Amino acid sequence: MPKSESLYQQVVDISAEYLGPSAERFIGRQITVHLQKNPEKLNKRDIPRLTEWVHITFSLLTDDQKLVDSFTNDLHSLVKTSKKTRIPDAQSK
Amino acid sequence: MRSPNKPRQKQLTDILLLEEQKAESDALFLSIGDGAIVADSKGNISRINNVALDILGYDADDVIGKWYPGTIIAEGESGHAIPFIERPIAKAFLSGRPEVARLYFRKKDGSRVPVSLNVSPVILNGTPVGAIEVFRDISQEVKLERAKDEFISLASHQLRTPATGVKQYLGMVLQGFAGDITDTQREMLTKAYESNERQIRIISDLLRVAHVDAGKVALKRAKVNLNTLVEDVIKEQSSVFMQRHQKIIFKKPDASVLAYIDEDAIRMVFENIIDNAGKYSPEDTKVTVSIKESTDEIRIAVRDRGVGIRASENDKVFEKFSRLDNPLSVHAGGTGIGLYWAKKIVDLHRGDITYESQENKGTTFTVRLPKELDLNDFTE
Repeated sequence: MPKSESLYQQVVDISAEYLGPSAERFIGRQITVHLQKNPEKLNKRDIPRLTEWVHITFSLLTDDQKLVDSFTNDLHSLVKTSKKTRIPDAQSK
Repeated sequence: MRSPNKPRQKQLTDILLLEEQKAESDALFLSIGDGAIVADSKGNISRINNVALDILGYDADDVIGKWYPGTIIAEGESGHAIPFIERPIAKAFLSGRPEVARLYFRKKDGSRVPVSLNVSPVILNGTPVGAIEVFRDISQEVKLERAKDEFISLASHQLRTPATGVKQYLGMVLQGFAGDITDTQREMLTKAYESNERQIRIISDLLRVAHVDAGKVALKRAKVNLNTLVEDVIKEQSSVFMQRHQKIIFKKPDASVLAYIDEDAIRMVFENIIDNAGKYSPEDTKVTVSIKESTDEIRIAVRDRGVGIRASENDKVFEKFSRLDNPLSVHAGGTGIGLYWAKKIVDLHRGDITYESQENKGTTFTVRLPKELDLNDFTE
């Protein structure tokens, strides 16, 4: 049965490109502390607010605004597309 | 009949009102008695008051519009720049709470100034729009503290050298280097030796406290397996517990619990708390140590079934040189700085130590270590 990746995991995957190994803890913290919800319960309506917090927090870690904007644009794109990643089952290999 | 100019008049009134409100806001900001810097949502300095400019030696044009963390450099005691992720302003957004810190700012002329600061996110209609950092120059306070700590350190060193000398010679006489000694002499010399050892311990404790008070304790952090650390400490103390006919039980978690800590310093914290638990408990009781891990923190609890702490002594528990009044304190020994020092070390790790106690029922001390993001999380 194909599984779709949770929205939270998609956010973490995007974040990992910018934050490396710390992505999950960084994003988890932003969701828990600023959105005050369980990261696994993240939904599309939360993305704009999450992006605001990620924008300002990441802006305090780097002066490269292009990088910051690239990160937040990538997060915003999750709202526009319905992204699903299929995990192929063993038989299809 | 409506005046055709009414909408325009309202517009002008609104503009005047906005300007008035802005002027009031500016006046309020400029009149803050401490240094104040506002960073916008891009981390750029949008406002800075005259007190901040005076402390830092900058002109407004030097800093307005510039990226705050890279323009106003913050340093620790050692003189090394604090990494951006460890700056209080970043931590405020990582933790979601205002941050308080003491650090050094690098001034325009290259010198540095010690400051005490607090920083909070600025939220407008639920949206983060920036941060405000308020700080004050604490040069005088630092000078006084240094003088006091240097005095204690010097006095301790000056006391320790002769005390160690006395120990050496007493030891040599006891071992027979000065010839045979009588039983009475041995008894008296042994008591002198033990008193001298206590004296050296007190002086060492004073030095340790002076170091931590002077901010000279620089944590050497590494990823440490807390299960193993606690097991080691318990093993070291097991013979003492056996002598007291006490049991020490470790509720070890199934999975390893890793923490980014100064292993030697936290080891001493655990040694202190576990030792206290045994000392303040009667024979034939048990002490239980447990570790619990959540997303944001690790809690290490040490529970005894001892004499407990009276409510009237709550404010003495973490004080320097404070010995709590209880039936077993005659045998407890110590200088009364163990918990003071332990709290300082845990504070340096941005954690805390708390306790719950009931007289004659027992006490549980809990050390909380936050699982913080730090520079190593980005590189490991």
